[in-house]
Amino acid sequence: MTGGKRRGWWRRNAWPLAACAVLLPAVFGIIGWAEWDDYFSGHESRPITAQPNASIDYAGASWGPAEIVELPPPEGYAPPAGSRILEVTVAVDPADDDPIGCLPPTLHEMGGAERQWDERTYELGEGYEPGEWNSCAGSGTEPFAIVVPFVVPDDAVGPFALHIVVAERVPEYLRLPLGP
Amino acid sequence: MKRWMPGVAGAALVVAAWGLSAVTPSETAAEEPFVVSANIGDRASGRNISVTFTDLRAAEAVTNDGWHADGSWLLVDLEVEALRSEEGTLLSFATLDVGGRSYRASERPPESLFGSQLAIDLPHSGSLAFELPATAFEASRAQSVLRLGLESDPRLDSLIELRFDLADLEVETEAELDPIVWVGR
Repeated sequence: MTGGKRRGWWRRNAWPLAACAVLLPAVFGIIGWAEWDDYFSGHESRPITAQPNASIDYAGASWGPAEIVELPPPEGYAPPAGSRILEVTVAVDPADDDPIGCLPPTLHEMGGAERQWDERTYELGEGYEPGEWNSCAGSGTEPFAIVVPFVVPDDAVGPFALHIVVAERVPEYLRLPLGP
Repeated sequence: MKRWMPGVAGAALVVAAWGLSAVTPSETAAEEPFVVSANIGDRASGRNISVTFTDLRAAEAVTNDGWHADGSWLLVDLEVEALRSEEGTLLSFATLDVGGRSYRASERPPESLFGSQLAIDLPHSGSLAFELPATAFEASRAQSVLRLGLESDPRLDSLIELRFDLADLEVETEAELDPIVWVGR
């Protein structure tokens, strides 16, 4: 094959080649995007973020403000060495007449290692005076407060945020920044 | 084209196809666990679990919190903690492969670390107990692999793995599971 014939083939097929150059990446891009979109729409991936010390609407209720305090160890509970107990209180006002359902909130470290803690109401034992609610389950339609304690290592200094998930609103979830 | 070229090219393609099939990973390879090798006394860390094996003990009877059972037991003493998240973070996977068989950690002792909730960067210490057939301690079949992880389905997550020989352990008459306590740092 000569150089002239080779150039002729490229020139004859310029349009199909250009179409391939556009369509092949587009096909992989669209398939990849659809797969990731499918994944993220089934997970908590879109935060509804409140301003610090403010309330915000989410899932037909008003949430916040949220407060975080450090608790002394309750009687009868020996905390692990190098840890402290943080308690978060969130005011909730179900604006609709329908009760809301949410799981117990989780505490998240913003920045750093981005660790996340589960609440420990039951582990703190009988010496701990729990709030009336540690989730929304069964809380009814009147305003109430969620109170949840966490046991975190001393090197977790924040800033923290509380995450609340109402299952039917996933992938949206509520992020309440805490403290300074 | 030379007359012999198609034959050589065909043979080369067959060899290439054989080579390709030989190096192709199995279908399950894409979802294998990520194995982290551990040694006694060293901290081994995976994605969301960190384990320090502190001792291995063999015994003809074990006790735990007033509970007692005869048999052939392996006790694994360890410290374990989570690293990133406490969501669903239980020590749910604990198996011992020995003599071509796989044993799960026993749920009989009332207070073992099997299934316990882990805390981030705050290690617990305690024991796991494996109830084995008496033949497990025979030297010829005692090569053992202990694997620990967070999910009862260990695929695509870290597994902490300790390899040892059961025959190296001295069998005690009776041993007690370590109580589950926080370990100070």
